This record gives sequence, structure tokens and C-alpha cells, in this order.
Amino acid sequence: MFSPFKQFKRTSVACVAMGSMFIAGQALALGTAPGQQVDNIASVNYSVGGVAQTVIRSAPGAGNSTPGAGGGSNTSFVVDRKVDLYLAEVSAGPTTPVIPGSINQVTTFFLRNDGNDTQGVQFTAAYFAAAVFGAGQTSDFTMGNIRYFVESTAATATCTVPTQPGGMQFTLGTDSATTIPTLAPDTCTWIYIVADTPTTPLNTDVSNVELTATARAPTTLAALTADTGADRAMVIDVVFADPLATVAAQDQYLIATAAFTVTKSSTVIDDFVSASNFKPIPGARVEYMITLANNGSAAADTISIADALPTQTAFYVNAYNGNADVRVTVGATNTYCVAEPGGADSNGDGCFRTTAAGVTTLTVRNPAIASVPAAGSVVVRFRVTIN
Amino acid sequence: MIKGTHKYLAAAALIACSFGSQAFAQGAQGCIVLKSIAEVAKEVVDAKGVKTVTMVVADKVVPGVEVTWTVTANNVCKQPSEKVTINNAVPAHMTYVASSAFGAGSDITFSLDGAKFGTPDQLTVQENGATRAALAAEYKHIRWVFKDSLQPGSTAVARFRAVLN
Repeated sequence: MFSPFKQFKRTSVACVAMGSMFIAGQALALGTAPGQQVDNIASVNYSVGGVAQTVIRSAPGAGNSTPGAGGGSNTSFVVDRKVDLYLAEVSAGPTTPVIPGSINQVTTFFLRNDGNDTQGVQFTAAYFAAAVFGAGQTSDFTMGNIRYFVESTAATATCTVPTQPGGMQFTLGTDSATTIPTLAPDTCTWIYIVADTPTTPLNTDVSNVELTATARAPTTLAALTADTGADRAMVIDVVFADPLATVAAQDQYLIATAAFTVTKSSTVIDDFVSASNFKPIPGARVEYMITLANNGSAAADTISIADALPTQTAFYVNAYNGNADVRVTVGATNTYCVAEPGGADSNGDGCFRTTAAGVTTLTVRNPAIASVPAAGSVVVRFRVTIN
Repeated sequence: MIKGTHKYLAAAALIACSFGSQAFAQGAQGCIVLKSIAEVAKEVVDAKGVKTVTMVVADKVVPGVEVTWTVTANNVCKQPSEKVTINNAVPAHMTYVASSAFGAGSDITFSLDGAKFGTPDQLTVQENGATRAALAAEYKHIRWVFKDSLQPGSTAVARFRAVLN
């Protein structure tokens, strides 16, 4: 801003005094502080009958016609209090990916005081059913245990929007405040909505949440009232930039999880009678192939496949690599395991057989199947003999 | 209103800065009644939902609000007034709005320092060793020089807008 000091400094000592006085009265914030009086006075020079007349200075109301540099009076108003919060969602993407059953999932919001005075701030955070990022983005489920917290680092004037990861991060227990007693003009901070994901939603389901921030009286957090009535001359009025001094922003949790498609097929690999076109006749060997395709958007681990064998068949051991019973293929990598009978995975390779009520069940699990990446698949092969 | 001490300093400053060569106040009334008012635009919605913008006395002025300052000079003498020149500084805490100065029948000039006045194309600023055109936001003084005499009973109007910083 232009300094009155520069304006007058070359003219006289009196001018310097005036300039200094105005500088002292200036607010440090970008917006002029409430209560600041703004004065204006005009002057007119003129002649009558070719004779220059004494300057006349202006006045409000009926005006002034008394000549002289000391005449007239300022036309003034006082700056009112502007209550203006800015709130925006600042997560890395438009949605926050979460996994079913995950707790303390965070969305981040950016809050800045765009008003011209210090304010307290209170918040609410709640489930938001309506769409937030365009059509088709209405909530499919409700996040549980929705809470909100204020970043514990003091609000600053450097309000660069953070990016996550790498930006300001929520720390459970450290970021524990739920109100801001005082937020100075032109300073900003971050607010976190923290919620728990239920176990039930499916891949690509979304849950929307909304944070509201309401300006309150500093420290006491008492409610503010806008002065909407008639002019109160030379009084600081409270002006709300937003209805009820409240702003809102939304964010979305997106379920990103594994989603499996299971297919099972069988092939007669030898009937020990024909030279080709083998038939499923007693004594014939059949290979079962179970394909587990992950169509979801997250990798899956701790997978366990259990398959009950038809009672007309007998599990065929040592089918692969001389002494392995099961072949597991993840991507292009084959691994093999031994399916011990008796329900105990004695060698710890992840494969074993259980027999109950005459039905044999093959189980294949970690470490035979460690993980299936998103858009990946696992293929389990084993063989039986037809009784 | 400003306090007594301020008023004294302000008056002293104005004498020294702008009117140092002129005589002190004389007892008789001058020929011109000079009036300054501050107004803001207010949108009014009538019963039919029609919006109209009217000017009201400056109220609810917060940073970013544009204030219209209007100076009227009414000739209350029986003789015409000549060389009518209205001066108005852009108030402290405010920024002049480009192209907002208006005054029918007047030549309008601006000044950055209150001493050298010129049209926008004549005002320059030295910055980093280079000369550039002054920005309207840098204008600190406005001067309206009315080309014709102000006839008895007539009123000259000078107007500009400024935004509260």
C-alpha cells in the first residue's frame, strides 16, 4: 500500500507528522481492521470576477461554505467487521480411497480467515448423502465414528495448500482440538475428518462427508450476530460474508478393495484307455483348475481357497514335479505344494487336506498364495482319479 | 470523527502541503458550498423479485467494498465562479478504482505525490531502474478542473470510486 509518509515527506515537518500518524493506524493484516475510521475531505479553488478566492473545504451533510484551510470537516465512516471463512477440501484426489474395516481414515480440509478480524471457529462433521463430485457420486454407505480435529501446528499466514502425502498429515492423539479459539485474519490451518470404514461396503462404493466451519466470537466461541439493520453511524457492524457465518465443504471416501471372480474347470488328462479324446471313465485322471481373478482396485492377501472334492473321486498325490500335489500360478510364476492328509499343514507350505464325513476338502492358502494384486489372478491346479 | 489532536495535525499538514501560499480563513462565507458524501451500492429486491441497485450512505463497509465518493460544489453567490478546481485525495486505507473518476465538463488529472498532476498517460513510476506507467491503484490525488464557469445556483459534481483495502 502507498504510504502517506512518501506522499508528504518532501514538503514539511508537519506533513511528516501526519504521515507517521497514519502509518501507525494501519492494520497489519491485508484487510483494514474493523473500527478503523476512513476520512475524506475535498477542497475547491475558484475565482470570482477574476479574483482568486480562499479555498473552501468540504463537509458532509449540508456541506461547507466557510473559506479557509481549517474549515469544513471530514466525511467519514468506520470499517466494519467482515466475518469470512474459506473452507476447501484438499486431499490429494477428489476421493479418499479406503479399505473395508479400516479405522481412522482421514480427509483433509483447508481453512482460512478471509475476514478482517480474529475469529473463533467451531465445526461439525457429518455423513453427507447427496452427490459431491458430480452425477452418480451419491453415498452408497455411511462411514462410522465420524470425528473432526484441528491441526495442532499453529495457524500460519503462509497458506499454501498442502498435498498428501508429503503435506500436513493427521496424527491421532496429537491433533486433538475440535475448535479454534482464535484464528487471526489471513491465517490458515487444516481440519481433518476422521472416520472408520464399515466392513460391508463393496469395491467402488462411496461415502460422502461434510465439514462445516462457523465463525464464532474469539476465545469464548459465543455465537455471532450479523448487524443487518439500518446504518449505525460510526459503529462497527458485523457483516457476514456467508449465511450464518458458516461455510461447508465435502469430501468422499471411496472403497478400494479386492473383488474376486472364481471360476472352476476340469479337464480329463488321461483315461489310460484312449490315445486321445480322453473320457471321464473310472480310473481316468482329471485336472481341476480354480481361477481366482481380482477385479478390484486393491491387492488381496491372506487368501484361502477351500475346495471339496466330489465323493466319486480320489485326490491324486505327487501330480506335479514328482512329489508336489498342487500347482499354484500367480502371474507367470508357478509354485508347488504338498497337500498333507489329516488336516495338518505339517510342512507349512500352505496346502493340506481334511476329510470329514467321507468328503475330502483341499485347502490352499498363504504362503502358497501370498497375495493377488489388483487386476491380477491366481490359478490353482490339482488332480483327482475317478473312482 | 477524528480526535482533537489529529484534527490539529491534519489541518496543519494540509496548510503546509497544499495551501501554504494562500491566506488563512476569512470570516465571510464563500461563494461555493462544498459537500462530500460517501455511498455504497446496495441491491434491493422488490415484492416482484426485481433487483435494483441503489446508492445508500456508506454502511457496512468491509474490506473489498467499493465506496463512491461524490463532491458537489454549489455556487451560492450572484456571480459566476470561474476556474473551479476540486481536489480530493484518495482516502487512506482505500485504493482508487481505475477509470472511476467522473465530472461533467471537467478535465480530470491525477497525482501520485500531490504535487505533479497529469493524465494517466503522463504519470510514470520508477521501479527497479526502469520507468513504467503508473497504475490507477497508485493514484493518490484527483483533480477536476471545470472548463466553464459555474453559474449562480448551479452545481458542479466530481465523483470517484475507491475500494477499502
